[in-house]
Amino acid sequence: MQSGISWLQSGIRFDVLGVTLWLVVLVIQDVRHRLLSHWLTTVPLIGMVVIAVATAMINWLEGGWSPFVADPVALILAFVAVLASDTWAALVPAVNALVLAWWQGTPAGQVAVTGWLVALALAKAGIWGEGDAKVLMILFALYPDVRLAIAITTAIIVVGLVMLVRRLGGAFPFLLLITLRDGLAGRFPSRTGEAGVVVTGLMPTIAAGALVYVWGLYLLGG
Amino acid sequence: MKFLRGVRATASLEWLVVAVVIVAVIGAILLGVFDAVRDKLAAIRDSL
Repeated sequence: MQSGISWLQSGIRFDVLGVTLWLVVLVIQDVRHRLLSHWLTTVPLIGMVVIAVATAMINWLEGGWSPFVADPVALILAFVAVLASDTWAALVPAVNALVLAWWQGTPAGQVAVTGWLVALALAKAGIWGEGDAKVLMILFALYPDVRLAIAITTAIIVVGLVMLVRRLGGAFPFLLLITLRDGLAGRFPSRTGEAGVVVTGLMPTIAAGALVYVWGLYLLGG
Repeated sequence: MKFLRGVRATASLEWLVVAVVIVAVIGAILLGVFDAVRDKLAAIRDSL
């Protein structure tokens, strides 16, 4: 029975204040420029992958194959999908990552890998920016918890609906229906080139959801 | 690699709301199916 380094489960938890500061700086960048710097998104994301490689190797050497090796390996496969995401070939590592995480990984690994691939898919569909997607990936690597997904999803739904109602009034359900019809027909923004009717920066919403989760964990000791 | 080079921080809200709802619905269905299959496999294993 090997314990392994469960960095996905217990987490390499950066200090709560550090994560808060990082999110605040990202929100400021978003509000000012609608762009997020590579130093705060791409570099930490690659850092997560380096940690995953090291974790997989250490856990493998300690006790051979186990869920604690499957988790980081699945995350590395998800990153290969990121690297290959200019073509449909990315589906091969993406599917392998999902199968590995859900077949042999821990629940934490399943949340992290699924979160990474959903974030990537939404960015490739043109629904949100690559910067937003990378922030989500970093958050899911740090806190692979379904409660984080629920917090951010709730924030997006609430803020999204409020903004849609403010912009369109009672007609907003029709826009959602038209969007749903377009989506089912495969007419995503990345294919049609349409920006969308209500386009806005997303970092404040993501940060709000993430901070509720992070500070909730910290204060409630979850 | 376009993804890694990208730094955009904007989202199309109507798409995002629809996508979140679809992902949540499909996720819930898959989770339900997964749980049902797991329970059935556990029942089979227990009966052996």
